[in-house]
Amino acid sequence: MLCQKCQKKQATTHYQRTVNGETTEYHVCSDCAKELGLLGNAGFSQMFSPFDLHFGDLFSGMFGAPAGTHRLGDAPSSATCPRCGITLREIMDSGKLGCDECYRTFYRELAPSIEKIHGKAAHSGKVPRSAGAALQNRRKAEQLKAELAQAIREENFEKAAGLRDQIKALESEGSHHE
Amino acid sequence: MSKWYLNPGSNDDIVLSTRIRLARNLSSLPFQSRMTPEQKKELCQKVRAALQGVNLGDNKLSFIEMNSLSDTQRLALVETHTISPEFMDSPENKLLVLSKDEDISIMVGEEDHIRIQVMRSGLELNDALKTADLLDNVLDETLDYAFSEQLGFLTACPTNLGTGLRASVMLHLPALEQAGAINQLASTISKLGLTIRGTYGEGSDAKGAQYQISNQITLGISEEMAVQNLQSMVEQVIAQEKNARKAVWPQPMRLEDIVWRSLGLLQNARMISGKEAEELLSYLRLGVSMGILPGVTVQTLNGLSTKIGAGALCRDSKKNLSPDERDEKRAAVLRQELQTAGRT
Repeated sequence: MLCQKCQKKQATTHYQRTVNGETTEYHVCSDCAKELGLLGNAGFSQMFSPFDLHFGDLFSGMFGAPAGTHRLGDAPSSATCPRCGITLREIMDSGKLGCDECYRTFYRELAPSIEKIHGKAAHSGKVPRSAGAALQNRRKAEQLKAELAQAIREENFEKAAGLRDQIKALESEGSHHE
Repeated sequence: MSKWYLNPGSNDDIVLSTRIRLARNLSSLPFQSRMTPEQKKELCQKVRAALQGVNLGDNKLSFIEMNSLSDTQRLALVETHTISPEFMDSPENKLLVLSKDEDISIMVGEEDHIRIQVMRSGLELNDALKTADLLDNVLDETLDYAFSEQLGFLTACPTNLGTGLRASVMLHLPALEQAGAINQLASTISKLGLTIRGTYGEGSDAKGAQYQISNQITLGISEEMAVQNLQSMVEQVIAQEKNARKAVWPQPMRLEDIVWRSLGLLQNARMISGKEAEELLSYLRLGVSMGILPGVTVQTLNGLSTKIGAGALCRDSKKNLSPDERDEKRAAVLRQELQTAGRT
């Protein structure tokens, strides 16, 4: 297969992603892959790490998509984060935020892209100490419930019983705190 | 205990390595790209202090200032996947926390403040996650992570939001590659929020039939579920690769011939490029996996691949080698290490 971009060289990098049922495929030669950021920053160091595909580059690519295909929020690209001073334009160009406050400042502008990457979703999984013990327990219980449902589907009743006990313990601990 | 890549692991004839990576940031500092040099220093000090009490038995942590290493030393760390290529560049105010077995590396000052990385030989996702989780808990005891209830751990790039977890498994898939099944595989696994990546063909980045499968989505899926999904997909791919080997090489003698010829070249070459070496070693790995080749183990091959990269060759020779010198040195290392290969 020829490279989709230059139409000259053999396509050696094949990349595909599906988000919300929408699939995009890339078949490109290694030079074009580097140029498109599919291999991360081009150059010497990049040749050696097959780990870590640079989704960041794809992310900034999505930001730069032509109008209509991707909606930005209402803020002008010169809008600035009050904490770190980064502008929306700089985030769009680099695909990277300046600080944790940027997520609050530019939430409306970022939300469509976040949804495009991860789907419509809220965090599930580990919660740090700073978020508080009550939330930690609630989240852990939610996660164990999902595992419980899976264990029941797989008819692994021994595992299910163990999970049920753990959930009960977490929930009683939670009510104790409240 | 020895270096992680010399340990045995589950399915290690097909699975080269497992990697777990957690991305974390401190709420008290701006993200990496907006930090002043003073803030970067402060970050390194904080992480260093937070890890002082950690007890990993014999697998002790050392703290390495990145600017204390030479270019080739840093490159050699990239070749073994100990650090990312980004971490290699502009080494000022970057700290690497590395365990004795090199299975744990914590990059301080990468794209995110903290990148915890745990490597295992073979398919060992749960074990790697457990270790990464433990280190994360230690850091969480004294550091305040940037976190939101809805978006999870806040990361410099929104692609890592949520758990900040990237779980990756590196597979050796020569038969699926030869059968042209990789694209089809890619479309199947992408439906499950996973991605497969492999580079081959031209360029020195060609790695003999090595493909990496990793989770792509980090928001809305717990660490355990993400790892479980990946585990079951990888198990299926391993089964498919095993089947494909029978289909691609129906005549055992054809495969035996390729394996032994590859060994012949590796044991006799006086100059060899990195690309050719990887291709031939890929056949050796296949030969070991299929029980064709005596006198060599996957651990030997894992160890070898950490010694023949450009950075490793220069580091071990203690000087900068020209490309020709590297090819010569690489051939010498291969001859030495594969001396007994093929003998019963």
